[in-house]
Amino acid sequence: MIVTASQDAFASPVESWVRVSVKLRTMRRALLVALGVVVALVAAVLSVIAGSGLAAVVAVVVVVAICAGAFVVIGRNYDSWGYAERGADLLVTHGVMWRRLVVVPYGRMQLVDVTAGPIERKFGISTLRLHTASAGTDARIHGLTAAEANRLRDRLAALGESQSAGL
Amino acid sequence: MLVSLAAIGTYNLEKVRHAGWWLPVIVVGVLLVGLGASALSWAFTRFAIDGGEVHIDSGVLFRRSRQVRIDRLQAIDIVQPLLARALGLAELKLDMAGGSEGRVRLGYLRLDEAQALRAALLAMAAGLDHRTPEAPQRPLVHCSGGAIVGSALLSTPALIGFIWVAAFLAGAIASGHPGVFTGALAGVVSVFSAVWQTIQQHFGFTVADSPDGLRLRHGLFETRAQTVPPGRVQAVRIVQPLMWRVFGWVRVDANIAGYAGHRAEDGRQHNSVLLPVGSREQALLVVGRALPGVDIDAVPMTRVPGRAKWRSPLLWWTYRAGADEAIVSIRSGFLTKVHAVMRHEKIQSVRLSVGPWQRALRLATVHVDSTKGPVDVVLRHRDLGEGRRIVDAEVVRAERGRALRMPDRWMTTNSGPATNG
Repeated sequence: MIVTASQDAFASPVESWVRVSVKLRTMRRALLVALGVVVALVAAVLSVIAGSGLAAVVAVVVVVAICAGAFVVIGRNYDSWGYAERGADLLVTHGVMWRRLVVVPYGRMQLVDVTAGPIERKFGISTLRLHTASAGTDARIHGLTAAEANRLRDRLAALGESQSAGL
Repeated sequence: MLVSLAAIGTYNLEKVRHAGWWLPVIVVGVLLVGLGASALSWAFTRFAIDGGEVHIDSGVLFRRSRQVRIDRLQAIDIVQPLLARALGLAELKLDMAGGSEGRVRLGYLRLDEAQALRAALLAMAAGLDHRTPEAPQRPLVHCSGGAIVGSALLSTPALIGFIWVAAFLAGAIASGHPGVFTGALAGVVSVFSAVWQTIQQHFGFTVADSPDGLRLRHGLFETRAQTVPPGRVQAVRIVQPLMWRVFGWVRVDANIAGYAGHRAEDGRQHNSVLLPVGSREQALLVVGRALPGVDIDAVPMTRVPGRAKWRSPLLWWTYRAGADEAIVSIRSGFLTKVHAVMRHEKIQSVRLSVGPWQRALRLATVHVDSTKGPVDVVLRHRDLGEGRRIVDAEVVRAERGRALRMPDRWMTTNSGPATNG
């Protein structure tokens, strides 16, 4: 019942949330696996140098367990991301433990940023950020495909221009 | 129309104050270099007002040319540091939307020139001819010197300072070593310099009302005359620190776009205070002028669900929130009481957030985002379902409000095109 109430409070105002690209989940899991392998290797090598094969096994098991947990968390976090474009505003939701929903009227947007770091670029995704005159507005969407990010940026810029409301 | 006026350089004596009395040559040298630099910078600064824009060219080596749209004006200040006051000079500061980059300083001018220029800029920003004479003003509130000093001494930081001193005094007496008391000095100096700063800044505070908006005058040594045009106040709060209750005093703060975040630039925080100390009636008078047509006490307020005590055991019973057609309003606080209000059309964004504790209790917090400033409109620990309904309702009201809002050029109507010289 509690879960249902929370889901209702973060339900999409239109039919459903637009999901972000699954490449976001892939990228984060790939990074996790790479990190996990490195940490497990270093721990195992150090244990062997110290002369304890058992410690090496324990270290690897612990790292694998933590990574498995993180693997699931990444999946749930990915599932929590969504956005919706309405007539006058953009809605973004994300977060599992700390759930967030932000509504930004197009007329209040001051600028729209699209950024992509080197790893994001490898996976073909970008991050879009909306800025208003408020410092509190925390509207960003991770894991948009490059094409979708550019489409959204151009659309938001055009809507922001046409619905601009001064201050 | 093209008005060209030259500005006079800034004689910044504070720079040389710490150079040391034993080397007056250095003092004089630095003074001369400073004067020379100021004179050069003055000689290379030009500004012009043309149509709806102000053009400023400045810089000796690196030339800088800026243009700002007058209808984006958020506030105008005339500032007179002590020395400038002695010389009859003043600096004009224009705050445009857009943070510290959006701030324009024109200085120094003769005081009467600065006032004439302010009148012309305000007339143009209002959508009138620049030759329109300065709008008449009607005094609303004057803060007595006693109230300014008393309120500064009864502010929470000052109270902590008193307790600090008392604690060390008690320690010195109890231990029989007077030296213990000197330990209090460091804290005392910092606290009381802050108190002194407040008194210096707010001394002689006068609030007046004019068709061009609120006019604030204040300052003991450095005086500042601020004009905040209609519709530029983003959000307002009435604050009552603990000890102010004895005299029934309150303070009024406001968010004004372009005012926050200038601390680094001139070393002190920009004044976001609309009334530093006054009775609640006076505060309501000022708020009524800052947000015309709004009765902040008429908004029906509701409390948060009792289960919020598990999330916020000390303050849950102080949280109240409500909205009517014009504004969203919150009250909170037990020791320091806060009542913050904001017009729906000024909303920048609306956020709903639920932490793990809140989720277990089916509570949610709604943030109604305003521009940078002291006022935060946050509806804490509402029922989860109600929180989402508040978000949806605020978004709708904000949209409706933006459609009906006052034009930027406040003397024009939304339909008619603005004309000016």
